[in-house]
Amino acid sequence: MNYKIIAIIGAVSLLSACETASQKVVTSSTGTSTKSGSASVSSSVDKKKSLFAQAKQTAADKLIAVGDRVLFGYDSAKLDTSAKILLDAQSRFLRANTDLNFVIEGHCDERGTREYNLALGEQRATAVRDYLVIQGIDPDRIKVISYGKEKPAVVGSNSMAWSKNRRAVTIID
Amino acid sequence: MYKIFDFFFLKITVILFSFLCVQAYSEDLRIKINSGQVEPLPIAIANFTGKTENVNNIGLQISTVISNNLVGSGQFKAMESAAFIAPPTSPSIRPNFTDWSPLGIKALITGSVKSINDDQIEIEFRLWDVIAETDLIGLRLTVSSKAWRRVAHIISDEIFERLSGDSGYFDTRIVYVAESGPQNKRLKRLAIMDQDGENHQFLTDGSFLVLTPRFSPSSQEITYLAYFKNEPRVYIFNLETGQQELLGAFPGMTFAPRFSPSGEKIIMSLAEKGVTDIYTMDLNNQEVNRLTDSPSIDTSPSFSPNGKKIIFNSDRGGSQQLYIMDSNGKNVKRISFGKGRYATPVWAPKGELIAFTKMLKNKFYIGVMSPDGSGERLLAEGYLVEGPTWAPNGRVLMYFKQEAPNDDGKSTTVNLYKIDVTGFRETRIITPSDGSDPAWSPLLLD
Amino acid sequence: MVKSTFISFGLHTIFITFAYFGLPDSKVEEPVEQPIDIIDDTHINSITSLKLGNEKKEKLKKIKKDIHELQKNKKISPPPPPPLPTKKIIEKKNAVLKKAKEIEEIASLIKKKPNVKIEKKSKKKPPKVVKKPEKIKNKQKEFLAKGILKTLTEPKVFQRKENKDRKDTNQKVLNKIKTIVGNSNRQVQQTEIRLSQTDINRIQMHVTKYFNLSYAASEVKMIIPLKISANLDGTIKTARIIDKSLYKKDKFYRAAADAARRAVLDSSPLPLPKGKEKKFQNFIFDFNTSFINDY
Repeated sequence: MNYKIIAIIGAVSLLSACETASQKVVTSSTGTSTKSGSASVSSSVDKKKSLFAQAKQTAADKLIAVGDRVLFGYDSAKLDTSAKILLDAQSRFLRANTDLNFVIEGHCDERGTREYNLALGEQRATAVRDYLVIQGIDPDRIKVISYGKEKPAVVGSNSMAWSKNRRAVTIID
Repeated sequence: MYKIFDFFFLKITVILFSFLCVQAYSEDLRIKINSGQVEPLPIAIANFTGKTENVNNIGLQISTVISNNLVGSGQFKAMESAAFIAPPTSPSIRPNFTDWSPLGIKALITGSVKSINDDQIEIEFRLWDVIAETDLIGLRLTVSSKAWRRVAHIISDEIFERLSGDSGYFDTRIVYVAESGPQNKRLKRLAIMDQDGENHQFLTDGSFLVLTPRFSPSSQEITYLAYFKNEPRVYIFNLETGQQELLGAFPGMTFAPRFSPSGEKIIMSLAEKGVTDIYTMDLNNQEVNRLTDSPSIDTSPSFSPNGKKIIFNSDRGGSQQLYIMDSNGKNVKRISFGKGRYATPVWAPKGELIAFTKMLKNKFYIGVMSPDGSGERLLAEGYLVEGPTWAPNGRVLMYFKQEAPNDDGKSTTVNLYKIDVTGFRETRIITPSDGSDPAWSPLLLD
Repeated sequence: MVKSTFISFGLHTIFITFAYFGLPDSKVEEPVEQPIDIIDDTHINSITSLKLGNEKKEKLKKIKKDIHELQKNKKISPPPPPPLPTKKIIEKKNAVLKKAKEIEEIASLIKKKPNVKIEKKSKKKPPKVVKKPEKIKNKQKEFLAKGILKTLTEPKVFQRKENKDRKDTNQKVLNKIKTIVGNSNRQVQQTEIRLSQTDINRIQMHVTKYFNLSYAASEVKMIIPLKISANLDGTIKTARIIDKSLYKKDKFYRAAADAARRAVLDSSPLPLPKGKEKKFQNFIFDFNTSFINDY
C-alpha cells in the first residue's frame, strides 16, 4: 500500500511539468472518475489541491518515518523515557512543518470498559499534546480525539496486541 | 405476715397468668410455614382460538409468544400442548380443572381471537388457578391485527404480574449497537428491537461511529454518543421524528450520557485537557452543572431511581472504583472495596441494587451490590462482559459479551446476553449481526 | 391474721371456680363458612381492567407532557446564557444521515408502533355459587355447635412454639395450682389434646413442599394467614385468605396468597397426628414469604 502511494507521488513529481498528464494521475489516485473531455476544463484549483494533498502525503510519510505513535502502560497515560525521546523527534518535525496542523488520537486496549477507555484515550492524547506544547509547538495547531478501545491497531487477545493498542498517534489534519 | 402477703401476691400473679393462658388458649391453632420452594410454576397455555383460519393462526402465534416470554423469564414451566387433554375452546368457558390438576399444572391460560373488521381484532384471555379452581385475571383487547405481537407481550406482562406479584418486562424494547466488519474497522449502527429480538430496525446507517445508547423514561428518546464529523459528542435521537439533536456545544468530548429519572436532564462526562468530570445538562433551559471536579477520570454516571443520588466510577483513589454522591455533587463516598476494578455502575429500577462491570485478573464480570457496597455478587463472567442494563422490573440484566479474539486477529464475536439477577439462566439474545451496548426500555406506555 | 386467712380463702374460692368453669371466653369466633369459589359456566360479561401501573403511567405521562411543554417553551424563548457554552445545534436528519428517506422510513415504522386499544371494564365478578350443597352447610353447623361446646368444656392447648417459655411458666403455675387446689383440675388433664412439636413439624414439612413462590427482585417480608378447615382424614375442606383488603391492594401479597392457597389445597390430605385430628377442624396457617430473600 505504502509503495503504491510512494510510486504515485513519485509519478506526480516526475510529471509535474506536464499539466494534463499530472491531472490524470492525480485524479486517478484520488479515486474519482474523470471523463477525458472534462479534463481540459479542470482548473488550477484542482491542481493546487492535488499538490497540497501530495505534500500532505509526503509529510505523513515523513511523520511515520520519524515515529507517529507512543505507547503506554496498562491503565496509564504517563509518557515514559522512550516515548519522550520519540516525541522530541516528533516536535522537531512539527516545528519544521509549520504549515501543517495535527490531530493526536488517543487509543486503549480492550481490557477496560468503553466509557472509561474513552476518558483514558483522551488523557493519553492530552499527555502527548501537552508534551509537544512544552517543546514549543503552537497549541492551536494540535487537536486531540479519543477513540477509546474502538479502533485497535492490532487485533488479538494477548499482551503483545494490547500493548500495541495502548497508544497515542499523531496524524496530519 | 410477710409470708401471707407474699402468698397473696403470688395468687394475684397466678390469676393474671391463668387469665393470660386462657386468652391464649382461646386463639386458634396457628402453624407457621416459614419455608417453601422457588421453582418454576407449571402452567399450560392453551392455543388462543378463533373462528376463521386467519384469526386462528394469529391466536396460535399469540400463544407461542406468551409461552416464550413466560418460560424465558425462568419463573414458569410450560406444559407441552400435546399433553393437553381437552383444551377449552374459549376463555369464557370454565375449564374442567380435574383434567389439568393431575398433570401438575397450577395455572391455565385460555384465550380467543375474533375479527371485528378488516383491520381490527379482539383478543380475550383468562388466567385460571387450576388448584383453587378460580379465575385470577381476564382481559379483552382490541387492536390492529398487525399488532398482535404487542398484545401477546401485554398479556404476558399481565400474567407475570398476577402470578409473581412483580410487574413484567415483556412489552419493552432494546436499543443497542449493531456491529459488523473486522475488529479494527468496525461498522457500528444504532438498532432497536423488541425485548425478544423481534421487530428489528436500524436507526443509523453506519456512516459514523455510535456508542452507548440509553432510553429516556418515556422510551421515546435515546441519548447516545456519536462521532459525527469525527467529533465525539452526546446526541439525542427522537424515535417519533427520527431527528437527532446535538446536546450542547462543549469544548471537549462529551460521552457516557444517561437520562435522569424525570427525563428532564442528561448526566454525562466531559473530557477536556486530560480531565474527565461529570456534568448534568437541563434539557429545558440548557443549563449545565458541573458535579465533580477532580483531576481524575470520573465517568459512567447513573442516577438513583428517586433522582437524589448519583453513582459513577472514578480512578481518583488510584484505581477505577465505584463512588456515590448526592445529585448536587456533594458527599462523595466510595462504595466498592473488593479486589479488582469496578466500572459502569447502573442503579436498579427499584433502587435496591447497583449492577456493575468488574475487572479482575484478566477476566471481566457482571455483578450486583447494595448501594452501600455490601452484598457483592458476581453473576456472569467472560473474556469481556460489560455494560449491564436492567429490565424495568429489576429481575433481569442484559449486557454484552465479547469472546476472546483468535491470535490471528481475525475472528471475534460480540453478542447480547441476559441473565436473571439471581445469577441463573444466562441466555444469548439473537441479533442479525454482532451487538453491544444494550439498553433496556422502561415498560412501554400507550 | 384471721382477716388475711379469709382473704386467702376468698381468693382460693374464686380461683378454683375459674379453674373449674374456665374464664369467660371473650373471643368465641364463629367459624365462617368459607367455600372455595366456584364459578359457573358463564360468559364473560365484563372483564378485568388492564392495569399497566396506572400511577406510574400517569406520572410518566405527566413527565412527558411537561417535557413537551417545556420544549415548546424552549422554542418560544431563547435559553439564558449558560455557564458553559451550550449553543444548541440541531442536526438536521439529512445532515446526519445520507439517506434522509431511510430515517424517515424508520421513524414512520416506529411511529407505526401498534397502538393497543384497551377496553377498560370493571372487574368481572364471577357469579358466586349458589349450588353449594346444603349438606355441607348442615355439617358445618354441626361442627360449629361442636366447636362452641368444646371451647366451653375443654381448655385449649397452647400452641405457639415461640411462646415456649411462657408455656413452661404456665405449666409450672399449673403444677403449683395442682398442689394448691388438689385434684380440682382433673378434668383439664383428661380432655386436653396436646400437639407435640413433632406433630407440628410434620405438617410444616409437608406444606413447605407445596409452597412455591416466584423469587423476588426486592426484599419481601410478609406473613399471610390462611384460615383452614380440615376434615378428620386430613383433607382440606376450605382454605381462606384472611386479609382480603391487603389481597386486593398489594399485588405481591395477592400473588403470594394465591400461592399459599395452592400450597394448602395441593398438600391435602395433611398428615394429621392420630387421635388429635379434631384440633385441625379450624386452624390458621401463617405463611411467611421471607425465605425467598435468602434465595
